[in-house]
Amino acid sequence: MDQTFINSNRNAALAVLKAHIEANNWIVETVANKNTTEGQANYTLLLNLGASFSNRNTTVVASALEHMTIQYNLTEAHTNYFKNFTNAYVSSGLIKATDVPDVDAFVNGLVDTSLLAEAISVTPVSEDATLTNVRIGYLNGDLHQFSRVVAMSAEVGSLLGLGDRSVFAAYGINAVAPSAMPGSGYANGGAVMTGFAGNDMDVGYLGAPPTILNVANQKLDVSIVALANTEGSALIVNNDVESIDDLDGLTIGEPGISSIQYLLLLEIADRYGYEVVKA
Amino acid sequence: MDGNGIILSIKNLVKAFPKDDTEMIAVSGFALDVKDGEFICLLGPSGCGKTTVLRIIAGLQSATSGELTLKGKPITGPGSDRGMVFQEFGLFPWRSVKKNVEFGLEVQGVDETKKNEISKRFIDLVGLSGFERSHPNQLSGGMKQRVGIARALASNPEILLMDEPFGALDAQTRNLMQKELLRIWQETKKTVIFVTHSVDEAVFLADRIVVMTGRPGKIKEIYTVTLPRPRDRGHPDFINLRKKILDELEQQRQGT
Amino acid sequence: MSSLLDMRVIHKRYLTKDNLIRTSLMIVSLPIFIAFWWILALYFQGQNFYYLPTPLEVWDALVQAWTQDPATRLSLLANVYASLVRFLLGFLLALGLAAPLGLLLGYSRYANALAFPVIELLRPIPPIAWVPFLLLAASFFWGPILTIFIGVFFPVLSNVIFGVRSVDPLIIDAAKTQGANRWQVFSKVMFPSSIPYMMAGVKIGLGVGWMCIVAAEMLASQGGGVGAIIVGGQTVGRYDIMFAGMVTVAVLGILTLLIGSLIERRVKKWMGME
Repeated sequence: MDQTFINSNRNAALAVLKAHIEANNWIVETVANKNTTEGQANYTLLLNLGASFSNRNTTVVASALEHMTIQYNLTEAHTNYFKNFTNAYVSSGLIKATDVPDVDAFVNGLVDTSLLAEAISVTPVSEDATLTNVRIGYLNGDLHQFSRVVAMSAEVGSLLGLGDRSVFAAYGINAVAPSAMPGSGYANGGAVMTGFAGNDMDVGYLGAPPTILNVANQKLDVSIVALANTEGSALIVNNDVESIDDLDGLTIGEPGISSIQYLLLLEIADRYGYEVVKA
Repeated sequence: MDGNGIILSIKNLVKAFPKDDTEMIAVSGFALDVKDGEFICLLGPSGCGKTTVLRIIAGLQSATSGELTLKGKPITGPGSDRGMVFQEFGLFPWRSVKKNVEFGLEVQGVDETKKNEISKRFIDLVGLSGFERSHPNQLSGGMKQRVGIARALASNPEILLMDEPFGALDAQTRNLMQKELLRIWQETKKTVIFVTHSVDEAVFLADRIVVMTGRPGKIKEIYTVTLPRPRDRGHPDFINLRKKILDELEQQRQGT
Repeated sequence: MSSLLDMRVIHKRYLTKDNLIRTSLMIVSLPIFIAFWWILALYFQGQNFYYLPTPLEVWDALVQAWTQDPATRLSLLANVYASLVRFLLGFLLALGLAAPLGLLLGYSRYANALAFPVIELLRPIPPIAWVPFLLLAASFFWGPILTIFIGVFFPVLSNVIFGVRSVDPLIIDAAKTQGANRWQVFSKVMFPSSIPYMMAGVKIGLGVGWMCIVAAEMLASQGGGVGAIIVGGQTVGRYDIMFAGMVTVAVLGILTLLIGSLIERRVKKWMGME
């Protein structure tokens, strides 16, 4: 979230978070109950929401749900991960050591969980209340941000007993797209960060690595206030590869040097004693 | 060449260009027999068809009807048997003087030694020794035209066609070049057909002057000039002939 | 080549009383530009806007890239080499195809009538637009090369066609009266005559080629490249790295243009057209 947004309109920020939390909880519950008779309908709805957003079929969505954890609670463990990322960036030269002399202080300053704590107690607004516009940006077709998709749904809103309106709307938020965001979402995390840089966006759904990179390198005034998911990446190989050592000498594609997958690759190489060389 | 020494024979030459929905007759009924070694001038105002006739002889344009034979063989297109010198020189700017002169020889596949020999001879003849390596852009107008003449002569043509070759030069250079041309002509003994609109130039140079009139272009009169060379522009005969031709052209111009 | 270092020519061109002022202006031009840039960058950074690095930051990034550029994990020279190879291959391919084709289309009205609509249809499409298609159709190695090819091809083609058509008809007549047949007129007159125009097209092509490099390398770059440095820097918000890449492209562009000009001057001298 943009810090200026948080500062000027804390209530709206909290409301967005509340909607995020509610959506999050609904997803977790729905997946847990997917095999019960009452839970079937909800599960189908969830899959359809995911399918229409990501342009994949429901089988893919179901599989995705199995491979990632939708959660919002940002704990100290996660903050430590962020510190590891930052260190990796500094040692690979992607962040100048002079820009981030104290990694701990930097990450601690970047993360702000106070809003999460307060957001729990936010209550819905009346059905005829005026909504606050909040510019929310996100990644194209990416299911990591499933909570956002769900929070936009009026069906889920009514299922949650919030009336015939989206979860966002129930908490007084009208989620609008940043003016410069491409219709289907930003192409990558770096692009999302340009929304913040251009003062075009209040809230962004994206990965931690591009956030860390752009805040460190561009000194953007942005805070990480919650998680959207964890465990969402995979290494796809053909049948010949059965262990990390089988990767030796192979060419590995990744979504770009600002992606979490690139960091994971560096991490794997480091742990197993390999070197990453550009092909 | 037939028994009379005629090297070029033109009969009933007609050239018409399509214009709007009719035709424009540039040349009508031109006929001339040129003797080997003669210096002929085609003289007339612009538009009289003299350059058209020359280009048809060169093969750069085709006749609408009529017969042209060079040494008994009909003319069907351009060729090195009819060398040409142009008013704007037409030199190849990327080639040196030597290479310009050797162009025709290259085209014919003449071997290196012979090429060098021939080009040297003609470069010396036109008075440009020492300039073999120069490029056209380093030469004055007069010098460029000397190259043009050397180039045309190097291919050993049967006749030399010259299209107002000194028209782009200043008056002094022009006079000098006229004298030079006569010297070169007397040495090579080529048949020359020289197009000009200058009466003075024609009287100075030619054995015979073919005066043409335009629209449609045809021969008005042919003058034979018997004055001995080198010709003195101050001589009464020279002055009289020049006046006579000038009056004639003036009459034509006024339409009488 | 010799006139570059000929002291007398240098003196005449730059150091006479008349020229001294202009020479001085040229010398201070870049420092003034850099000073202006520096001030502007500092001003923006004061406003918390970090997208314009200072010249010093760009210099530092260049120095670091010399050893290893963080965005591509390769040295600057390795990146330059990768881009240069792509550039040269694409450029030479374009020249090799556009020159003969241009000669043909300039000479033959029929061939031109057939080719003209297709060429004019394809010409306005920016090379950049072809990149995704070429990467898939032609492999990650040839894709960027073909992008550069497309960028260089059209300017060279147009210039050669124009050059052939601009041959002075007078020298064609002259060649004919020297006994040259159609092929000889073409090879000995039209072709040499069109070479200066070809060189002009080449110079335009050089500039366009470098622009294509960055676009082509934006999507994929085997073995790195200056475009990869630019894009990599931009993705992680390291605009000093990005600018370092841009400066490198600028220098490479100038160098190739200089070489192109030298070659052009050589050719013109040989052609007696200077």
